Amino acid sequence: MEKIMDRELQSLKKENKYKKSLDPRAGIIILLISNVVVFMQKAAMVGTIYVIFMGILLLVYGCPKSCIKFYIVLLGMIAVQRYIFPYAPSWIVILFGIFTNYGRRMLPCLMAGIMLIKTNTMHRFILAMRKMRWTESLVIPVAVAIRYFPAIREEWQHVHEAMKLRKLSVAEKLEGCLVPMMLSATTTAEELAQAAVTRGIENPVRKTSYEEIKIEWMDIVSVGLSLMVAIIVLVIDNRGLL
Amino acid sequence: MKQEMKLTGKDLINIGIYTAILFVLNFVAMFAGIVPFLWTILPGTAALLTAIPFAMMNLKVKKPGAILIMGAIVALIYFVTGQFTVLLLITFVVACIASEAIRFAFHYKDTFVTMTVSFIAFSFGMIGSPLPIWCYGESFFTQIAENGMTKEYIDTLRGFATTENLILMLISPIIGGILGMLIAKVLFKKHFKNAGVV
Repeated sequence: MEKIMDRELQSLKKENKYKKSLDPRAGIIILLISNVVVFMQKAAMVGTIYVIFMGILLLVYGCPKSCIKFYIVLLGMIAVQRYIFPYAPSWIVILFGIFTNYGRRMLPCLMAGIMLIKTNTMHRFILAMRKMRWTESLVIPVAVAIRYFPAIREEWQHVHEAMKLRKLSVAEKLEGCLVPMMLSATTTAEELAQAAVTRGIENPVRKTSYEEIKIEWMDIVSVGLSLMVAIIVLVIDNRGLL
Repeated sequence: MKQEMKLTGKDLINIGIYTAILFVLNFVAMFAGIVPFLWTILPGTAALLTAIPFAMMNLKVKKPGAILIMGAIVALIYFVTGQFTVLLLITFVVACIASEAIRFAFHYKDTFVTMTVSFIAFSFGMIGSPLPIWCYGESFFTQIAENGMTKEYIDTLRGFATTENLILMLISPIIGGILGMLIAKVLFKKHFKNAGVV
């Protein structure tokens, strides 16, 4: 039995050979640092440096696609702000000005979040939360909530496709979206609860796991680097060097 | 605490799922806030949209701690996505505790009235988002101007910085909460009761 599990784990590791995994705790610290940068920065220009740094970090952790995507979004937003807004009518500026502005400021947080999600499985998050000694009555709802977002999206797509065929008022549309969503949520909750109870969710002892998470030197290096870049960025920002 | 008042695994899963739906609807209201007027009445629009999952969660989990966990998860996800300001965090925590306290005062025997009252308390948590317009006044506008907000947007916002609008913002969660709960009641009667869900 042990051998089979070992082999399974090995093949899993081979699949993710290019994706190094960031420890969830280290990822959360990087996220916190990004949050601080987002809230403390004054000029948007300096934040760009941090975005570029986060892009490199994404590359290192083996997510080149998302790195390129974020760079394109950043360039697009800068281009829109520079070349389109001066000539656009004012209602466009009001509506999309806040959008591009907040979007650009939120980029570091989004990137840190994407990095955290792409390099980890839900199981590793749960392990990290348990290692941080959160109570089980918070760990389970958090895990279920995060895991349920894709299901909501899927549900919404089904409803949306079915709605295209009919002419409905806004109120009917809202009702048509919410009711199936709530109904399916109720059945899912029921089924999930039964499945979880049979697997011993109510067993009060500390849960064990085959996979273990450890903070490795690479996690420490990336946290240290992002802290350093954040401090440099904020210092440049406050002194107004750019 | 008595054994039957403890949260079981099933309750936790219920809380998780309804919180996910509540969060999505809350986020929709937040996103609609790029229109300046909708941002000033954000607590009301959020209440209107999130009433159904909130009521559903209350009906399914009649135990202490449910609203606190719900609020904690919403705060956590917003915090991770970088949407939370300190002011919003404070109002949100206070509102969650108040809502839980109201439910506790009614011994978790949820009727339409008690649920509406605790939901209104819960909805007041979002007032922290538009509050800086009135709370910090001119320094807030100079700050977002420094952040690179366009002048037109700031002028529109400044137009809302009146006492009438502040009162409108403060009563919006009450109106939104009552309306949302009424809609929830109608929908529950129309769909969920027949399906045997509630």
